[in-house]
Amino acid sequence: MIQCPTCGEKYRPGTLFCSKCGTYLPTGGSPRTVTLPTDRLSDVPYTPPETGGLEQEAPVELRAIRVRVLETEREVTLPPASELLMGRRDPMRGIFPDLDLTADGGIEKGVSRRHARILQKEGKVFLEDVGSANGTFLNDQRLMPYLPYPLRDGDRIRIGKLELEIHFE
Amino acid sequence: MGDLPEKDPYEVLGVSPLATQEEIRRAYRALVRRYHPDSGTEEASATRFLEIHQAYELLSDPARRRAYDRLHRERRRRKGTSFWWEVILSRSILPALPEEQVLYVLVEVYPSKRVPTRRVPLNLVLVIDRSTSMQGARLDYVKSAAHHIIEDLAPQDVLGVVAFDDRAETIVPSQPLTNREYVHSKVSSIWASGGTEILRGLSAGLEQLRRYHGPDRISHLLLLTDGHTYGDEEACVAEARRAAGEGIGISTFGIGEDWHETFLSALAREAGGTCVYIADPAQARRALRRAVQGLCDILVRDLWLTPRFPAQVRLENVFRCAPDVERLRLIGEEISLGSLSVDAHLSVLLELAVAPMPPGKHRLMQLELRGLLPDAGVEDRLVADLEIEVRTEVEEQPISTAIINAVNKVNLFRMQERAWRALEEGRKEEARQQLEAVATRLLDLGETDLAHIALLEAQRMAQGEEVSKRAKKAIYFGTRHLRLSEGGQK
Repeated sequence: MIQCPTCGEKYRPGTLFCSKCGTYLPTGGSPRTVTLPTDRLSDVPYTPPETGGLEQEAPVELRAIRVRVLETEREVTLPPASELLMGRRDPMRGIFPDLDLTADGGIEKGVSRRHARILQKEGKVFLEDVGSANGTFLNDQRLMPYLPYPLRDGDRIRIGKLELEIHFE
Repeated sequence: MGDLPEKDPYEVLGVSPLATQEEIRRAYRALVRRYHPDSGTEEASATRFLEIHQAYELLSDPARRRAYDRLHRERRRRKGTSFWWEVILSRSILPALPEEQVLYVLVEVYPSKRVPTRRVPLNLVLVIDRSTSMQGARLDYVKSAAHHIIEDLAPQDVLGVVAFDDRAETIVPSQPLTNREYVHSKVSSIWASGGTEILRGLSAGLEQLRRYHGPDRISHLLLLTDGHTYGDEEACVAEARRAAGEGIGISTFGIGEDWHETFLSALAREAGGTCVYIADPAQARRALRRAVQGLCDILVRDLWLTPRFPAQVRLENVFRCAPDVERLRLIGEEISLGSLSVDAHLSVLLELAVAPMPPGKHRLMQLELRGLLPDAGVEDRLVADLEIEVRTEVEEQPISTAIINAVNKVNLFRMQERAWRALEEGRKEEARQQLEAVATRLLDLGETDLAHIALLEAQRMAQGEEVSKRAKKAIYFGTRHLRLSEGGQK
């Protein structure tokens, strides 16, 4: 028997949806992102560092981006693209992030299905929170949602409670 | 033997290409008794007998039968069937577990790109509720809808009109539409009176339909009503089932709020038709015309799906999930799928329970789909044998998005069914919670209007108020017609 993680109803293995609450069962459900207690998250608004900022090295072509998930030590190289979505895969709702953090404990770590994106414009790389439930952090400072912040090689970012290290290839 | 016999030996003997030797022998014996030149029956015929004998000789010899099947398949493949299908399993490898498991099979049926050689003549009967509750605008709109249908049909189409209250009256006996004026004047003469006994109208309507019914026509009964029928529900459903067996379809139209949605749905489902909710009687004309237009577009009728299972596999539920969600039922060992239109696709979801099996490859099921092409007067058939593999170690397999969407759609329909059942059985708090869950899922899917109706009803329940019949119908029919991302690669 398998159990619905949301309402506790029991089903035979292979069942896809809970007929009581509608949860998608195979991935332990597509429950809504749980709001984590805020005391553990920094709410200090992000102030851009004095050096660097928008002034990056000479404009270049789109870069491939290597992401290291510190907790699981998983490394993923994302192909060069002007926009890369980070979050949790949810085929039911047609959400297929370029970086799927489900396998890194995304649900428990408060990762939203659509959490944040890495943008590339005129050779510069930006990080933007797309209205996630638990926020996106750049070097420990919380980003204002929907505002792109410049990202540098070697920056550490936090998606909910998952820490990632970003490298430009 | 390069050449195929002129006539399909299976057709000659009237057996399925899957028939066993025993079935073939039985069919042959029965035919010999009827057609043998010495049998003395009226049908006795030397040529027919020879045909039967040759067909039997071919099929009773396993080597010749295999050779024929291979050539026949090849010829069919080149010619192509009028419909095509895709069969998708939720998993093709199962873990070896000591308990029963659930497996979903999605069958998507598409019409092949083949334009019918001609528009198949329709054989329609309108069965109109004229009980007292229909008096006024309702009956006026329905009569106006009927007048439009009379004008839309072609002279080779056949139309009959039956009106009923607690009795049935054949207003227009089925006839080709050569005298439209007469039909118009008879329809204008329908007046409201009396109660509602659907069985009477249904039986009288089917009686008219049968007069012109044949394999080269689309025969369909269109029932319009606004009320409950009393005590004859089961008999009505049995009538509908009988009609389906004869290749006659039934569609039902519920006007207003006072009719029973599960009953009218069941009636249409049994006979492969659709049930339409007409909230505002002014929509009657559009709803009826759309239904008749749909009948004109039919490419294949009498579609039947036959699933056959080994002992370890059991069929638990069958749903149609496109064009709309409907719980389907086995009639004998077959499932009636109704008809397939030129530019539509049909999808059916089977939910199977698989008993524990040892590792290795196993037969899962055999699926057979057959349908009648009314414009050519022939039957097409597709057969597939499905296998699964059981392994001790199984890696997680990706599940097809088409399956996920189909199960999701059906599940939402079941969730609301569950709410109404809880309400009927007096478990009000459970019904309220269930309706809230439905609303949440609807919101997730972006169906905000429907979600709000469901939420509002849940709130009314919390305050101890009665559920509005209108909202219940909106949710019942709304969840059946959800578009979601339609399954299939079309």
